[in-house]
Amino acid sequence: VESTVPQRNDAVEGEKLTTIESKPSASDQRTSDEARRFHIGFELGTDDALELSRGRYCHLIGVLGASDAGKTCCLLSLYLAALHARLPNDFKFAGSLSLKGFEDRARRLREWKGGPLPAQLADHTTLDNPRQAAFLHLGLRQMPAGRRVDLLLTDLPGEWSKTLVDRAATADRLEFLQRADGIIIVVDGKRLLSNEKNVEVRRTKHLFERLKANVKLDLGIPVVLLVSKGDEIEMKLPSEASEIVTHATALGFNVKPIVAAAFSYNTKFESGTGVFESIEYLIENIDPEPSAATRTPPDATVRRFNAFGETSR
Amino acid sequence: MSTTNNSTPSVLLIGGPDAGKSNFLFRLWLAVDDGAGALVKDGFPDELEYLRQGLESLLKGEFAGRTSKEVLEHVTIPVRSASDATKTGVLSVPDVPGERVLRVYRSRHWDSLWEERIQEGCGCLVFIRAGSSEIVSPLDYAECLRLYGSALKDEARDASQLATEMAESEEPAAVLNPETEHAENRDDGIRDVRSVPIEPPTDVVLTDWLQFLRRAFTDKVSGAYRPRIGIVVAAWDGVQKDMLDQPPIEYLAQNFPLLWQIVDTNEHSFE
Repeated sequence: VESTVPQRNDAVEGEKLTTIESKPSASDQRTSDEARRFHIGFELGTDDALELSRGRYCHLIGVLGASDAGKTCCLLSLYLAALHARLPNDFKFAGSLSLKGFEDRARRLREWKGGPLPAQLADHTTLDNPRQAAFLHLGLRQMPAGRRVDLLLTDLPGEWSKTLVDRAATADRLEFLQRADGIIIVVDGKRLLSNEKNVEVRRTKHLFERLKANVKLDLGIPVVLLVSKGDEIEMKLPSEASEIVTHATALGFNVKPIVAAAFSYNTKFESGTGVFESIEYLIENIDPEPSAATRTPPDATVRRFNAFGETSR
Repeated sequence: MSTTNNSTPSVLLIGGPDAGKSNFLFRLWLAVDDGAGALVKDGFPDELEYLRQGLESLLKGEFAGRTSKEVLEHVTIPVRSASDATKTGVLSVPDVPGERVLRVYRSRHWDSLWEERIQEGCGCLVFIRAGSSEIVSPLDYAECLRLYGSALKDEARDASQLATEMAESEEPAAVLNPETEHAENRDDGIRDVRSVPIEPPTDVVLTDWLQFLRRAFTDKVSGAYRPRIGIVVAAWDGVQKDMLDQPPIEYLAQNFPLLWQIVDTNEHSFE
């Protein structure tokens, strides 16, 4: 077989680094008469998210975790459940500004590029951009009552979580999470049962500490500790996960552990188990009274989000 | 219908390649020309060649050929109500090749052809041809696991290893359409993982199109205007046998679940 894919760039540890991208072809771009341009559909930068938020309240959910913990798999699993009308509790797909982004990620056409990973959350994304640190949008409606829920799910490199633990100075780029309605921290369930479990537990505990001390996350928001690859651990919550929850609770976080199998190899468990449950837990447990930290944003990005958040809540 | 020229009501036919738009249009012209339906012709169209040629194909028992990818056929048919001759109008129907519909999805913009027709009174017919080989199915969990295998579990795995495994797999490779964005994007020496289906799923494309229409109507007409949208499942005889007695909405729910959901959850946006 010839070399059929780009070679991996090992400069950045742990991320998928193929450079395949889904861009419009030359014929697609050929136009002398562009009467209307739509959102690019890949992902939403902060400007795009703000514009969307002006129309309706959006639930911002931060998804954090190490590079190989399974964050992208969870996002894709959620997308596939929506795509096939398999969301539980009468939730249905109601729209998405990042439909193309979900689709291209599902087909592995939009992965983190080789070279430096994005250093900051994107303000605005264009067709020419590679995958950005940004948001994926998923609009849902719970039928028949009709409650609309718009999710803005972060799609961040796992490196961001790792470097946050290592260096407090990198907390700045995550300060937008002060506006988050909920957080999902993904940990690899198999690793929690492996000989690396102590490393994983300690790293996750440190992540919680950084989120409190440096990112200054609102402790009132719900947090899910999503234990991934549950199909390979019989969907049982490892005691190591409970240890993490105990630590986070002592820090003041409100954490619920959920074992998930985004894509299940075990026929006993359905793919997607635990993924939407995590989302549903977050949106059902939103803090109705934003804390002082949320009302006094430290930087422009957060201000813009909070300015909307305060008027729309 | 309206009789004013500057707001001629249009019906946009939307669908990918081989969705049955043109054959529907020729059948419509046949019905209007025969005068047997609720709409009858109110004079002859100025440009009849395209309709004539298509209709002659149908009358010979043949399906019309694929619409040219580049040539846009714009059909206007003066019509009136069969029951009330005072109700007249012009049916303005651009017959747009499916490739253009796909192109808008990929390039995220459209030209004045579409923009000019976004107006109050404009309706849209979304076409799906049952059983068409051009329908691209969406990925599901099982397909993802088959295509990517343990790569889903190990994001850090080398992509070339994945490609090698897929190439050695006995599973048939998905169709690689040479006109896709991906195939044209090879001048950088990068090739695609050959088994990954790269055409966007028809369900996703049509759903995004409804979102485009909603956005455009909101900007140009008003957010309160609910464009009338019809979904035509063409070639009904091509549906699975167990679906033949089911209503079209059931076919939609089972085969185009994303499109079905967005219609179901956005009643306030579309009529």
